[in-house]
Amino acid sequence: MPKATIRSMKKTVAVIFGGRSAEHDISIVTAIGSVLKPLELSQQYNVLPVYIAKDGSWYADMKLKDIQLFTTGGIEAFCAKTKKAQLLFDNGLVLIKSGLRAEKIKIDVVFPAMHGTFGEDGSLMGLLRMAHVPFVGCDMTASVIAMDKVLSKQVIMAASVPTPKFIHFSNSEFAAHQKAIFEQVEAARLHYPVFVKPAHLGSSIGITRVIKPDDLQNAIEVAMHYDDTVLVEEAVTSLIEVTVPIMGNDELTPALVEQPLTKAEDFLDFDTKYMQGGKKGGGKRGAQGYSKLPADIPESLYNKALEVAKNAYKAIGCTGIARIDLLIDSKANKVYFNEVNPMPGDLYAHNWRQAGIAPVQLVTRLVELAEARFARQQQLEVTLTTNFLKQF
Amino acid sequence: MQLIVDSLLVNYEIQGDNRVKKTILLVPGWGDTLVSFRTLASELAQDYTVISVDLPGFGRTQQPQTAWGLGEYARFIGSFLKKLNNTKLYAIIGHSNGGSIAIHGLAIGAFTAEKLLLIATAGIRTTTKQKLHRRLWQPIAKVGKIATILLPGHTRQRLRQQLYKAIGSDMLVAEHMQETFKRVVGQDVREDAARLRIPTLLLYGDRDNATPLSFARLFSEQISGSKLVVIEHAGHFVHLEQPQKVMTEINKFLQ
Repeated sequence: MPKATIRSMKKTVAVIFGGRSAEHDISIVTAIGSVLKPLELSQQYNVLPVYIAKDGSWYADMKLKDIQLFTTGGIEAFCAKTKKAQLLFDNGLVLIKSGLRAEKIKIDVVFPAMHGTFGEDGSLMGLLRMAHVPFVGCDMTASVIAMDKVLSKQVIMAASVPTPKFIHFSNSEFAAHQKAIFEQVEAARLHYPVFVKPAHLGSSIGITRVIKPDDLQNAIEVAMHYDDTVLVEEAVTSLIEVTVPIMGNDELTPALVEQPLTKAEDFLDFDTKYMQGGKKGGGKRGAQGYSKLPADIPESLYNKALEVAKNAYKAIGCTGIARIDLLIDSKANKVYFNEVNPMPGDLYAHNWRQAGIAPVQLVTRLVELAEARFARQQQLEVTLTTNFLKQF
Repeated sequence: MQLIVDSLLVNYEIQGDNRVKKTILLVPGWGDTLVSFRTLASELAQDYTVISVDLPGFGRTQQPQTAWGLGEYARFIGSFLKKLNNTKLYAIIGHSNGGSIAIHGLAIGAFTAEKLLLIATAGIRTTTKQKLHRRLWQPIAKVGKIATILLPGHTRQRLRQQLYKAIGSDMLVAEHMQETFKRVVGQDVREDAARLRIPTLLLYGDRDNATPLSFARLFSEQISGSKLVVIEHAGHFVHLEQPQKVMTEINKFLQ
């Protein structure tokens, strides 16, 4: 009998983190600080940390709960001497810890605490769908749309949610028709400054704010270093950036509208967000640096931001949790969709806490939402019994 | 800020008013990044446009595909400046290996500058003391390599790190750049220095063991018209250890 079945009647939640992504390290912080600990504190689950190393190998071990294993650099030695975990799809997901005493652990729910490529872009979600296991956060389709800035803006526009004007092109189009692309930028009447962005990466990686046409080429080259598709997007003037974490499948629960403390001329980059802990200022320090929580904006604008965020969440088909980033033109009182983050760093626990939802409540609610979505999906017919093959 | 130069993703910073004509380039040393220059850059930015860059393989600039020598680094700086449309430097300030790159680059015409400022600059590789040092340690390193062949990888690596630290080598400061390190430290830039004809200031710490005052004197002899200033109570990272004194000397020199 598999050991997991005799351990306890508690469900086993596998928290998957790390991964082959530029945001590998951020994922470790999210998983250990904001997911593993609250799940354990809830005392409702057996919590299994599953770490995906930078080379893509999987490890499942209780020692992976210790942040010091990562901060001291001991993780490399740990991976070198630890057997890799294997996955078994057996009408659900089973993790096999190989070794002299191989251990099979049946996973009841997966909590992906991963950011960026493979973890947040729908790849892992596709694998988990195939494995037939409930998982926390957005499903595959919404994740794919969310992690493609071009696709998400197109979906948003189709749902009549406002988003800044943009053009997009592929690496090969730019290489073959560079002049035509620059003409396209002119023809679209994009006003400078513009942002040049890789279509798929998060955390502001490869994004450049361009203030004059002369600098456009260099910015496009940088974005293309990271991605096959690039978008050039008009910057919003009189800008106030806000972000809204939302939770739910059908009924949506937004947290507070949060205002990261950045200036238009001081674009928040990866370093500012994650490496330096944000700028000094009077705001609250979260995973994204300092911010005003709730945002210091008029009530009408605050409510408009909530409405646009919820509309965007629905339009993209998000479930579980996501964070919607918005751009506000404070002079024109207009709210624009910027992008959606299907697995916000640290789950934005600081915001949820201030909104009255403690970390333990947050993670248990997310597990419940995952199970509810999975149960609903089970009601859909996906196989069809026919005598089609018997005719041959 | 980022830029693509010769297919490498390059991290750099520009401080000061872009409209100011006089531009200063800061080049960090081996294993170092532009962060070490931030205080200096902020001070200089009051009067100049200041560009600082992470060299390929360090900081947030991509590593080159092949092992580079000083020539590749010098030509990289030339291409970098061209890409920024800023090829006429007023001054170039190099620290340690950054100084060697500056000397070599100016000598081969990879870029030009009106003034050169060398802080604790390396590039002297063939003194009698250095030759003796190499003759003593090279056989020990080779014997150690064979003797530890059966040890586990991480133990072997730890012993190796301890050995290189003990002999004062920067070989493992950037382990991913070992082949480049071997090429760079194999190049002596004294002949390049002798070809320079621009005002040059040499700043060295009196307690510097990595690039001792003997290097400063050798460079001073080679570069005609150069001025040597010894900063007291400072080791190799002169600009970080005595920022005020260094800034005072730089201001005097650049005026």
